[in-house]
Amino acid sequence: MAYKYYKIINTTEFDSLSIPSIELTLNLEDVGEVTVMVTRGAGFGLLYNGVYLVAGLGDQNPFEFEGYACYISETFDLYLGILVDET
Amino acid sequence: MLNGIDPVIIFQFNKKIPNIADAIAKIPVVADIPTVVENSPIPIYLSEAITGILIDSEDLSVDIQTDTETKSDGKEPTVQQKGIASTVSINMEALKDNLNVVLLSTLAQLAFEKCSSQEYFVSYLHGSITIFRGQLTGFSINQNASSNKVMIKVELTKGSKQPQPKAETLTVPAIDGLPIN
Repeated sequence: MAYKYYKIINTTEFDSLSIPSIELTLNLEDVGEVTVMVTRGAGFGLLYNGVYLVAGLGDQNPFEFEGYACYISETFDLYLGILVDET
Repeated sequence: MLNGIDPVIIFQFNKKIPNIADAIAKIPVVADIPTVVENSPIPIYLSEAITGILIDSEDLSVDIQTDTETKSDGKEPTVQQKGIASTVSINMEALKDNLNVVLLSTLAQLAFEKCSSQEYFVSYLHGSITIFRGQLTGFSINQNASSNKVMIKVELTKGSKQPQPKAETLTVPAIDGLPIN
């Protein structure tokens, strides 16, 4: 399955705010203006379109669920993945 | 006293927290993150018995800009209104050696330094004339050699503050496939 990934936030910068969550309004290429909530608990997660994704959950990175994915890179950038319709 | 018998003017100064503001400067924040620490309010009772400051007169005026546009077809004119300010003007008097006048003057000068950073509020309560968390628009002390009194004038308003521009929404490019750095 192919995803398009969008960089949401750097987790180190988010960590420095010392807040549990932050809501971001971003203009994603080919998608439009969306609202994404970034959360910090045991790991970093994204709440997008009613779907909650946690990077590294069950040792899955990227973590894929219901057409979306969440990936954290080696440089600690958090990405949102949206499944590309291959039809 | 706060039950309305004696008028009271309350100064409150805040301190903006610079670190968080700098940290989120590059992030389009939608959530409301508190960035201000409020200090304790400083009340000054404008009572002759308590502080020796007597209110001579006070005025409350509400200014509304009204534009009436008449129609070329003779229909009912449209009226556009815009609020300008709601201003309270207080004239006080006290003796020249009154230390509370010095305090009032010092607080007004502190408010002057913080007016651009919006790190202060002034509240005034006297019966039907009340302003909560307003701004100081004028302060003057007048004294002359022929009298042992000083005349103090304070003007407060509850006009709209400078609106904050909405942060520009960041455009994020799409990456095909897993972004491996």
